[in-house]
Formats: sequence, structure tokens, C-alpha cells
Amino acid sequence: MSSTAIRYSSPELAQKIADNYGKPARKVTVKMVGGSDVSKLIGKVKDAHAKAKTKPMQLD
Amino acid sequence: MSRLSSPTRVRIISTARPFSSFRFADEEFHGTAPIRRLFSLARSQNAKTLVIESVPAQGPAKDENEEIKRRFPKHKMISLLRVSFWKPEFKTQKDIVFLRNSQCLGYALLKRDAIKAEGIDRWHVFEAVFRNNGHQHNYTPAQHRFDFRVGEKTFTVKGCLYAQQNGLNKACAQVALRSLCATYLGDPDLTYRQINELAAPGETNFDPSKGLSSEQIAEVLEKLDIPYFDINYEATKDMRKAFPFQKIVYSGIESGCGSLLAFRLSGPDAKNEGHIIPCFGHTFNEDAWAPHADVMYFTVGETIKYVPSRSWMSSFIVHDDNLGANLCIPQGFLQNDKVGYAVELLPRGYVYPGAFAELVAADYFYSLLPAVYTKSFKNRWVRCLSHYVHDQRLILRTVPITAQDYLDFLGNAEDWENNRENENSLKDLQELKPEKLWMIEVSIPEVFSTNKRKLGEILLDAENPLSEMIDGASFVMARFPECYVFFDKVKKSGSSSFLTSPSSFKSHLPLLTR
Repeated sequence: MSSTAIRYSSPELAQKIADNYGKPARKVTVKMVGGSDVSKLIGKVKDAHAKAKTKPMQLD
Repeated sequence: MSRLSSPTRVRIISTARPFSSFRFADEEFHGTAPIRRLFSLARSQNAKTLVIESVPAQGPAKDENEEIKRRFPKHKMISLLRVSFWKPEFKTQKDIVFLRNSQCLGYALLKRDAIKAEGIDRWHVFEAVFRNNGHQHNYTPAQHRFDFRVGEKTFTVKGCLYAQQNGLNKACAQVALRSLCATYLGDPDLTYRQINELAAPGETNFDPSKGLSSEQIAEVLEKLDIPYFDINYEATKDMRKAFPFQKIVYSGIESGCGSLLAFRLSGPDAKNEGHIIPCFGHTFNEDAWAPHADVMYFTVGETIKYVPSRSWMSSFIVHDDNLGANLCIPQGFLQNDKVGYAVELLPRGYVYPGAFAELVAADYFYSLLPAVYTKSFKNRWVRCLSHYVHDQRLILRTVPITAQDYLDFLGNAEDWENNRENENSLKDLQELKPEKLWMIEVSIPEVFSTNKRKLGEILLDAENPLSEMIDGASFVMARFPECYVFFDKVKKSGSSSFLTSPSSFKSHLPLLTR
């Protein structure tokens, strides 16, 4: 899965809220633990969804 | 439309003992199962009075008669009755004006069609709306308010519209679509002619009595401009295990939109064709055994597992046009290899299903929480959360919410020790965008099932395509005990940084309820 642009970066909002408590916003670095597994599963389900109109089931 | 027509004849009947619903349904309506079921729903909620009105065919009922007549010129509608069930006991038409919406259990339009040459003369439930039976464990998020008239007064009842097939111009597929789409759109005047024309435009050989294909069902949803997500398990059999139908059906129900579920019947007399039903509610049993016994994990590859909130669900609440309205079907009853097609309707403006949001959020929870909380954090709920992160036993529940509703929720919420959020923080959070969000609530055993409360949530943008990457494209914010988390930036190394700010909530908050 390709990454898209950052849309919801909010350092100002984080700092505003921290200011209400007289503290700086704290920065943490994060690595995704399951990134490729999640992407794989979602990709697989999206592929299945794309095939939903093949072999249609008659419902009566 | 006949729901709101002025009646030509009114009968008021006491249903107190010794009145027999069974006998009455047999004598008046040839005793079909779905009609008997309506009387049972009324009896189980202590209906004391039944009002039966003869009404003219107007709106969808009139439209249906015209559609049937085109196929069967000798068709005759023998009767159309509007039946309503009431909690209070009353005897005269003059009493109707004093009735209130809260005293109504439901209404139905019962239609009798005959085609002598074909040997057809039968009653069916053209439409019915019954309120949730009020059982403590039953939740029916996919409902709408429907107006109907009794005598000279208009009433409203909240429920999911039920409809039965007649084998003439509609089969299970059309009635399942009308049931769910009319409820989703809040439009009980959606007609079968509309559905059939959308399913098979210009097809002169189309026979609506033979139902619709799963492909035609998708066509109808698209043309009604209803967003949806579907999987055809007959075309992609490996999905039955990787992404079971329960995930799709539950997601549609929890989003308040509802789902359709198609399966093949088993047994010696089973036909080759499938059957489809609308699903609009679920049970929630706080004493459920399965989630404690570690048999309800959902796993994503080898790195992530979590307990989905549906682990506490015993049954989906559904309509079955052959059997009746508001029935429970155990989530494990339908064997996966019998399920052929599942569709969840999505809320307007949502471009991907809640089940996807939950998968991505699971990754965020397990990635963020160890980074956000250092070992020096003294909060006991944080320690609990960290314990369940370590064991990969977080409980996740996904629901749609608007930014404003989320802010209202925060503004009204109190944690277990009655702490409220900082007023200035609530004002600052007014900047929150976008409007349509998936909220993935996180909780731990007992707090979730017994208290129906949670330890935090992640908000993901639902208006734009989902990004599974940790890139700030879909992640809007997260809240956990004593902290908010916002996206900062993607570093050159490929890892991402987040910023945390304090929150006054120190423990658990209520789950979102509708």
C-alpha cells in the first residue's frame, strides 16, 4: 500500500492543550508493529471486494 | 400511501384473554408464519388492543398492484388492511385520539392478492414496523421512525421495516433490499417497481418473482446512491476464514446502517438458490463465556491479535421474510461455507468500512501505547492497559461519529472518579477535523462488558481513502487516560513522531451509545 500525504499533523493543537496544563507537548517516536500484516490483509479483502460481482449468487 | 390513508372501515378488538392470536391469524389471514409472528411480537409486549382498518391501495401498494397486473392481467387485490397493536385497552374509535406513540407496539399492512387462473389467493405482510422488543440484551442500531395513521390521527413508530415476498413481483432479494434501504433512507415509499427497474433496466425477460442476483443487489444500492461494502464469498472462498461474514454484518449494524446476509440453505429439500435477509441489530451478553476463554481473538498475520466487541454478541437480530420480523440468528449458527454474500451499508460520506478502520487502529493501539506511556507512569488504568497491550488482549469496538458529536461526548463525559475535561482543552479541540470519523474504542475485559466503559479511543478520517501507513493521512487523534495523542511528522528514518498532551480524564469513560 502506498502512503498518502500527511493530512492531520497537529503540533499546534497538541501544544495548545499542553499549555492548559503549563507543560510542553511531549514528543514520542513510534514504529508500527503490524504494518505489513495489516496492509496485506486489507489488500486481500480489497481484492476480494473487487471480485464481488463475479460468480453472482441468485437470491430468491 | 396506504400507511397514511384514511380508513374505510375500522374494527377495534381486545386481545386480552381468551382472545387467541393463533386462531385469529388462522381465521382472518390463512395463518401464514410471518403474520403469526406479528401477533406474537405484539403478545410478547402485552398488547391489549388491536385496530384493524380497511385502507385503499395507495403509494407503494398501488404501484405493486400495477406491476403485478402487467405480468398477471387477472390479478386482483382482494383486501388491504392496516393493523396496529396497542398497549392500552380501549374500545371505541373516539379513544384513538388519546393514544400516544409510546403506547404503540407496531403497525402492519397486510395484503391479500388473488389470481384465480393461477390458483393464487394469499395474504402477505406488505410492510410492518415493530419496535424493539425491549429485551435487556437486544440492541437495534439500524432503525428509523416511520409515520402511520390510525383513524384520523398520525403516529410514529421506530424500527426496521419488515416486508414479505409474494412470489409475484418480489422475492427475498427485493424485500430484503426494501427493508434495509427504506430504513436507511427513511423512505417507506421506496417501491418494488423502483427496485426491479434499477436491478434490471430495460430487460424485457426479467422475472422479478425469481429474485435478484448478488450483482443486481449491488446495482440497486449503487443507483440508490447508498454507499456499501460487499464480499462475494462464492467468488473468493478463502475470505471465509480471513475475513468472515460476521465482521461485515456486525460492522454494518454497529454503524447504524444495517447489513444484508445471503446464504445457501442446507438439508434434503434445500434449493440451489440462496436466501438473503436484512440484519439490523445484535444481542450483547455481558456474561458471555467465549471472550474469557480466549476463543474469540481476531488475528492479523503474526503480529496483531485483539478481541472484537462482537465476541459478546450471541445473535444478529434480523428479519426473515419467510419466517417473520425481529428474529435472532446465532452468529455461529450459519456455517461459513454456506454463506455466499455479505453487504454492509456505510453511513453517508464514509468511503471505507469500519472493519478496515478497526484493523488499522489495532496496529496504532499496539504501536502507540508502549511509546506513549513510560514505566514511571503511576496511573493504575494505564498499567492495566499496558498489561493487555502486552498480552494482546485489547477489546476494540468501531462506531461512526461526527467531530461535533465526539466533542459533545467529551464535554459531557465524566471519568469513574467524576473528573471532567479541562474547559480550555475542549475549546481547543473545536479545531478537530474532518467531520466524519471512525471511532475505535479500546477497552479491557469487565470494564467493557460489565460497565460498558472504555479506556480510550482512536479517531480515523472516514471521508478519505484509508492509509494503513503511519503517515498522518488517516490518523486524526487518540485519547487515553491522562493524555491526547496527535500526529507530528514522518522522520527520515521512516519512523513517525507523535505529540502527547495532558487530559483530565484519569480512568474510564462510557462507551458511545445511541
